[in-house]
Amino acid sequence: MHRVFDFFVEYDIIRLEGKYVEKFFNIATRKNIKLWNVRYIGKYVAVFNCYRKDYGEISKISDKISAKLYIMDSKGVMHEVKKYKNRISLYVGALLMTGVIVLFSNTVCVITISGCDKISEDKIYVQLKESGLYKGMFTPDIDTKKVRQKMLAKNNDLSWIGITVKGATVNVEIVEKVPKPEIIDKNTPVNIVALKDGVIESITVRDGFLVAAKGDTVKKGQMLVSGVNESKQGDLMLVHSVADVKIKTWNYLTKSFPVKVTERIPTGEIKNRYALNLFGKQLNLFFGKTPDEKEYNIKTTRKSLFDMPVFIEKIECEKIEHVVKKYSAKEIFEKNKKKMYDEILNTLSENHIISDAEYNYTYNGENVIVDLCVIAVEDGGIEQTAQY
Amino acid sequence: MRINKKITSMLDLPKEVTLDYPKITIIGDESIVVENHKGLIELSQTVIRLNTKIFILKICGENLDIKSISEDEIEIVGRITGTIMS
Repeated sequence: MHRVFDFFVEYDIIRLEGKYVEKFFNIATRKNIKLWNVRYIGKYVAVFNCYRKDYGEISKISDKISAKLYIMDSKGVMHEVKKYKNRISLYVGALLMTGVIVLFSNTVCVITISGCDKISEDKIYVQLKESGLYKGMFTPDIDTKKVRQKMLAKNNDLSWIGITVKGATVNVEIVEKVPKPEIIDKNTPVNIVALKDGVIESITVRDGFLVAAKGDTVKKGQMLVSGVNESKQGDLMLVHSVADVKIKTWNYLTKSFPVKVTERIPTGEIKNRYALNLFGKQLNLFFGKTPDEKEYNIKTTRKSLFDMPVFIEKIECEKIEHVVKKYSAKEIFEKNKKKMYDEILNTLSENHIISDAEYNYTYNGENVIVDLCVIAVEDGGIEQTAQY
Repeated sequence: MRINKKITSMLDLPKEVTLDYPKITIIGDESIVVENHKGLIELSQTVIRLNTKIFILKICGENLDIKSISEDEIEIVGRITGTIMS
């Protein structure tokens, strides 16, 4: 046990030189001075350990027997502490480090979400944040019960949510609701009407009374399948029409583009700026203003530190020049036709097949006018409550 | 003194407590602990002589060191080759 005690208390390794070393040890022990590791290393020379507090006493004893004492070394934790007592910055650094460790071990650094199938994880992240669970918050502040309740109230697609906090990581487990099958109200008579202008490519009726045929030209809102029919006896037959209708549609788009275009040309002059992102708050590690996006192409890359919500952001700013360029009509057409095509695709129904696409452009001296026609076969029927 | 001895013997008391006799414990050939010693007489790397109440204990060996020493107890380590009581 005294070994452990010695480790903490300051003690000296002392060399004793004198004729009567035995006498020295006898007097010291009689005065209850603790000595240990006594080694006789030569004629009239011994080395031993004793506590620093007893040094005064043993020096008196050595005087008494005309021996000489030399402190060879000092040891113990307290001795080390005394050695470093003037190094305030060391202690401040250690204190700060301890503070940082305590801070980070009590901060939410990672949120893992499992069980997402139809609901996107990003949506859950956003809703968790709104419910009071986000990266960078203190873990003791997390009220899992409250967050669970808020999440279930917010998101109707959730059946169950479990939240477990493990150190700086929060595991969120969700169970999605199984969607109820769509109930068709057979009692309400429903017609199928055309969704767009076009020509019927195919029509398959599962229920209802067909009023249009393949190859018919139809207008938007025109009835294709009726849910109401009158029998020969004059009785009304009401049904909920169900049908698959494919309509060939012609989708037009016309746009005008100037031939003179102001372009941002990179000059090649790149300035790198760095910033520290702490829990979503950005601290600039540079002087001056943040570069203006009008004058620079700004590309930001971030690197996470220790898998925590602390990032080093590299802001790469490439200076640009505004140059007015004049293109030929064909160049303008080629540049913009893909954009126009995509714009039309966005207006088509989900299940569509493109049959053809026709482009045409004219130049009037300043602008290029591009006409686009996309011919597609798409879902063309929509339900509408029948009036009778 | 004799009465003390008799009482100790009758009551079966430990003699190192009542009569201040030395108690010597040897562990293998590496360590020897002497309780109730009365001081060091000689100290060297090969011989350590200790005074006790009833005899002088001579410990012989090689590289002998005193691991700890207090008023009542001394622990000697090293390679112990023999002890002589005289």
